[in-house]
Amino acid sequence: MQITIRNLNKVYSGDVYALRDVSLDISEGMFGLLGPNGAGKTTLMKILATLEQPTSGEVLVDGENISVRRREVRSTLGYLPQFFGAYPQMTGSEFLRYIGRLCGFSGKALKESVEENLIRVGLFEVRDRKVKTYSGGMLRRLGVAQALVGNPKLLIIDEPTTGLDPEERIRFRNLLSVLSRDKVIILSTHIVGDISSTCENIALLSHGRLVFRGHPESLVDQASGKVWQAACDEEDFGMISEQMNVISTIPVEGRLLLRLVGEPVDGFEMQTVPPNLEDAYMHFMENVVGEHVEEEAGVMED
Amino acid sequence: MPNTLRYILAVAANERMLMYRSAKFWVLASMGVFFIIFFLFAMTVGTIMGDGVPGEFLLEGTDAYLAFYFFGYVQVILIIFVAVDFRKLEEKWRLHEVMLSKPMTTANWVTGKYLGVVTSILYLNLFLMILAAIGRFIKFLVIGSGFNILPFIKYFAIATFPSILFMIALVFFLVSLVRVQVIAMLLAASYVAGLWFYIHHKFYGLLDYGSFFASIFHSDLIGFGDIQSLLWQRLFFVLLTVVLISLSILLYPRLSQSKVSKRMTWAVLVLFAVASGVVGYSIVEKSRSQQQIRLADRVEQKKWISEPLCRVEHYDFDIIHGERESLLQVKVRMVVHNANQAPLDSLLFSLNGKLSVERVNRHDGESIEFTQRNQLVFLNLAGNPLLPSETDTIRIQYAGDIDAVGFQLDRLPNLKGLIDKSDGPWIQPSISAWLSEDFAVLPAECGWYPVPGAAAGHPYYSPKPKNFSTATLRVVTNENLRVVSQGVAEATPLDDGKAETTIRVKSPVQGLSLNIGEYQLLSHQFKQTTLDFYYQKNHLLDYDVFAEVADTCLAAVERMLEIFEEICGVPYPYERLVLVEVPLHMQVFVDRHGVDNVLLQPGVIMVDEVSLASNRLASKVKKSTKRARRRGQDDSPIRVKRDVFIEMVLDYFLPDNIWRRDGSISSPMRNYVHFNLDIADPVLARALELQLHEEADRRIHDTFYPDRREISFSANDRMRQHDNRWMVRRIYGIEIDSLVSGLLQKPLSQLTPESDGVFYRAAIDFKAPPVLQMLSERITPENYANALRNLLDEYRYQRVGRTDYLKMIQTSIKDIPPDFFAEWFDQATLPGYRITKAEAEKIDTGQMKILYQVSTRVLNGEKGAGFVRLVCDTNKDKILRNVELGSYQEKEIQFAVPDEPQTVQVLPYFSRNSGNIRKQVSITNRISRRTAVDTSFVVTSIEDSLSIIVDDQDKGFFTPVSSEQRFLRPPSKGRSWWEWTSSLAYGKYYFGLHAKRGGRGEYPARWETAVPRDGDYELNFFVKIGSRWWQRNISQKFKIYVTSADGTFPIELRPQNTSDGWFPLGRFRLSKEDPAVVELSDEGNGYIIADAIRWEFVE
Repeated sequence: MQITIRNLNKVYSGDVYALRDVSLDISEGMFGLLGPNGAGKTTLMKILATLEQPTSGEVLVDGENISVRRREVRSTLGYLPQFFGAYPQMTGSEFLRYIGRLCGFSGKALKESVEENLIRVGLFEVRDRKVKTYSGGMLRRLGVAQALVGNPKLLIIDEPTTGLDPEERIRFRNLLSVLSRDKVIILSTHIVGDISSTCENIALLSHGRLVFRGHPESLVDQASGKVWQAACDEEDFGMISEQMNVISTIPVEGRLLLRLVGEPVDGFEMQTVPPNLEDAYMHFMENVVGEHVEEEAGVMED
Repeated sequence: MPNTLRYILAVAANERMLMYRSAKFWVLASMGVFFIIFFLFAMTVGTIMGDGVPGEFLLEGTDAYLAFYFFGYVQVILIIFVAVDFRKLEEKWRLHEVMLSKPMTTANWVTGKYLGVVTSILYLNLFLMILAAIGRFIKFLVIGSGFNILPFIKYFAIATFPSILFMIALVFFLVSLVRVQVIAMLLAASYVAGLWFYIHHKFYGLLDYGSFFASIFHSDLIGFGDIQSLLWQRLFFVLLTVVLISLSILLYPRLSQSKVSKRMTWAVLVLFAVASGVVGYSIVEKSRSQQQIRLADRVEQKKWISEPLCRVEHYDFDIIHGERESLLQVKVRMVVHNANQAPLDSLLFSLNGKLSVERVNRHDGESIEFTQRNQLVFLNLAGNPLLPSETDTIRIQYAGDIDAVGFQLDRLPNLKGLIDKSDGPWIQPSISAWLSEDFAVLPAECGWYPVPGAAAGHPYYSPKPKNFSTATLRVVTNENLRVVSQGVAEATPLDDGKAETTIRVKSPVQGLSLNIGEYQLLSHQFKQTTLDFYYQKNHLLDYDVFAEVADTCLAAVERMLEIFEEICGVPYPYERLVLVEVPLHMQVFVDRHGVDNVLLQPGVIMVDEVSLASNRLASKVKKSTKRARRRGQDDSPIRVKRDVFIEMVLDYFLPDNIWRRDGSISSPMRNYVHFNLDIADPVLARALELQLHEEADRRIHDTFYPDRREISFSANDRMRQHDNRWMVRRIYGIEIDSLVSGLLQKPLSQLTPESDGVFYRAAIDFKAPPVLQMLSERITPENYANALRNLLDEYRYQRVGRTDYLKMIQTSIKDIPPDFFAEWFDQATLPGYRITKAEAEKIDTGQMKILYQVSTRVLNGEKGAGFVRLVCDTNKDKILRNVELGSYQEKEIQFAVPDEPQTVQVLPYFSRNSGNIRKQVSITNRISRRTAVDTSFVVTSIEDSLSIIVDDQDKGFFTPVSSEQRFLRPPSKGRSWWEWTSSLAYGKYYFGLHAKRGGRGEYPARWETAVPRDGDYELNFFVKIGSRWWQRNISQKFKIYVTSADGTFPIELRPQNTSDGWFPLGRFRLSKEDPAVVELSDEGNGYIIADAIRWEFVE
């Protein structure tokens, strides 16, 4: 399956741009969509899930425009929205059976699909409990299961790991990795860790614009030599954090061990360290995108 | 299974499951179901246990109807509450995005949700239906009333199911449109409320989505009756349902699956919108055009009312009933006679609009040219006219159906048209005739046979002349059916399961009716009359309870027939009196002439199946036995059963309840005279029928229940005594006060139905019958009966007017003034009565006996002649005197009674009084030795000439109106004094007083009058404290200010101390130049009462 996004724009009333001229190509495998809150990730997801109509531009799935062929897209789609709930008076398996029927399953196939996905997300043991008794994490897993019930070719997952504990998160990442072998999985998140371990390709959105598209490694490369480690006293922390982005702060023997991105501050002893994707994302959003936004603001003022 | 269906069913099943798991659904459903279970089972138990349950509870379709009727309203609330969630449910649980990204179409989604709600409500209704059927089955097992499952299915299919479909679709649509649940709920609820209070009959009932106001009560005799138009109306709602659901789909906030699916939805929407529009329009248009046709018929018929008519002296019918191709096929041979001075070259007959004339011949077979239009048939005799005094025979062949509502075109325009049946809030009767393969109710008025002249359009004061004729009817129908008409019937079996019934009507009748049905027959031959009772199998339950008292019961009926004869002076005029059961739908329209008895037929009394089914005889006997035992009365089975039997017979013969206005049931008495005379004066016609009805009512009750003294005054009497104000309002739609004031402005003879509407009917019923009763009392009932006999002897089968009637009265008693009717019918006066004295003294007559000499005075304080019954109640008996009183006349009536008199009461025939006119008799202890006197004489009342009383109802009484500023709002005007009704209050014709909670003296009540001459006057203040409540709450002091020629004098009185009501205020000098004023301050520590002040001239 090949998804092609061309010059996609979405403008809400009041001239609010949610997406600006976004163009992307997405192939099979995991695709990560990163960006801060309000970047346009959810809007893009909704357009891909046929829930919203773009203002202009087009989205092609295997060459077919999804605005025209919604039925086909919906029949190959699994969607987990950012905020997900289920009928509280139903049990987990009843809910999945219902979703399965809406995906066209029936009989034995439905039963197998429901059980398989309950096992996948680790809810098989509690399948006959009412949804209202599920914890936040269980509910999230049920959301993943419902997205998988129809055996979709395209899986759109918006902020999937919110509310999951580390163990569940790891299991969830592994599950997605397994699934991504024969599907397109679009994973939207602002948690960089979710993407770093799973996605072959990523895209960065900021203010509705696509600001990066490529492998995570190339994003990491861009941050090479820009990530530092330093130890400082508590009273110096303010000065450093004003001039550099602090990625992490660890108190060690009365001092603070900092991981920093940016140009080093004079007067402090700092050592470069190899960047990870989170460092790279910070570096990119602060330095590359930040300059870009400032430029754009300048143009608009002119 | 196609995907579309799979999706719809999946969504529906889910929706249903969610609904069944929601507390809201079960709370509301349980409330509704509990209500219905309680109602149905309470009624079932009541029907089994008691005898006072309305008859409709024993009809086969009742339980089904009641269940669906009442639940119909309850489930609207349920539907509104559950259906309103259809869009918001998924949003509430954050599921909408997941659901809407699934591959079903929006149409699948909305339809599935709709179907889910529909099916869950549907199952609830089916549950209810089973419960109702169980109730019906219990009745069947316990008391043997019929059991039939078909009404349940029919009601459900016709009434409930379409209304469920529509209401849910409406809520879906409203939610989609306004998107705010609360507003959608309010809109849906407003529609239901609007339907109930306002729009139910608008647009010919088109908008009655639940058939709440439609005529679909299931009759055991004919099922639903004619519901064709109702079925169209139901189709309209089903089509509209599709439109609303299509709109809900289009308005649903989801990107459509494809252009094709969207276009398909639009196509369905347009198609069904057009279809529902066409159906709705055709319903309205059809009803409208039917009305137009009827109006046109009346206009056309009006043109022919002056046409000289022939008279049909005899009809000879050959009737085939119940053939599928034509329900009624008739060949009639008519013996026609020309009683006019000129030859008739055309004959005019009226005939029901759905019957088509096929052929008309003379007796010799010569064909007669004819035209049929506007319910009229014109026979052209131009070549061979019917000469004066000539009699000829004409044969007419016609066939067809009956237009059951297309006759009686002279309906009162200002009334709703139909007379409301009082047998329950849910019966909406609508047919005045019925013809089907196995049943027929064809009253004479429906025009099932040709009658000379136009049926409608005659002026009010000149009704259409009646045609009295004899007849022979030969009716071929299925052999299991019985044929009923005026004469004696003989049935002969034919081949093919048919039978021919021959009926010979030997006494001339003014209208022939035809009833056919699967009836059971009870028959008994009395002295000169056969009484036949035709009824449906399950409707006369356990009548064999009377077996052991059969002779007593039959003797009672015989006595009733004798009473009829005593009243009217002639025996019952037909050889057979028939009671025949008819469907509950039978209804009459308020007619310009006949008021509400237009469907009565000579010799045949139609008994509504509801009233018949309500007679639980064994239960009544049991209950009456217990009651008699409790009261220490004769509880022997013979006495009790006889009484129960008589009550049952009276229910049909003399429905003593004037409030039952369904014209299909009435007494033979009310029309005793009508069927022998053609009374031209409409006021006299109505007056005579009601007067005779009431007189029979009184006499029969006095005969059979001499110990129940209160019953001897009929319901009409009670109405005229105004103690049933709300009943008058309910029957006539008019307040009694408006009626009284209207009668003071317009005499009876100037009233017309067209110009006076509801007032016309109320006024005639209120005043006209008592005038005749008064006449009867004046000349004695025996003389009155003689006069009626003379009238019938001399004018039988002829047209009579007031003058003829009065002439016959005068043959009995000469002193009846010739202007009797001018005085009573043509004058706008209404007397008002007061008892001014009620005293008695013990007298020793010298014959070892002490009697009580009663002296009582009655005053007619108004203009216009009066006539009253004066009743003195002793502790053992009632003494009655008739008293005639002129304008403003007061009479003293003296009579002696053997027992201690208690009260005297004036029973006016008609008056402006409200409530009872009754006074306690005061008895002196002294015993006089003299003879008893029985006399009456006119007195000059001191009270009238030298005393003035101003009551709180009179013009000279004033109370101030308070005006109060309330915060920032404009000042509001309020009443300081409230009006109360109290039997202890002083009153001329209305017993009321004004009262106020004690205040600071800012709002005094005031009496004002002008005294006739200068001098000293004794002043009295009327206040009477009755109940303990008043004694506790009345102010301890009243402050009164009297204005006299010598100034204003304050007086204080303690109301508790007064005894007879009049409290002396003292003697004051008054001048006729200045107004005499008394003011009552509202200052006090409890309630202040303002009632009446009396000024009595002293010197």
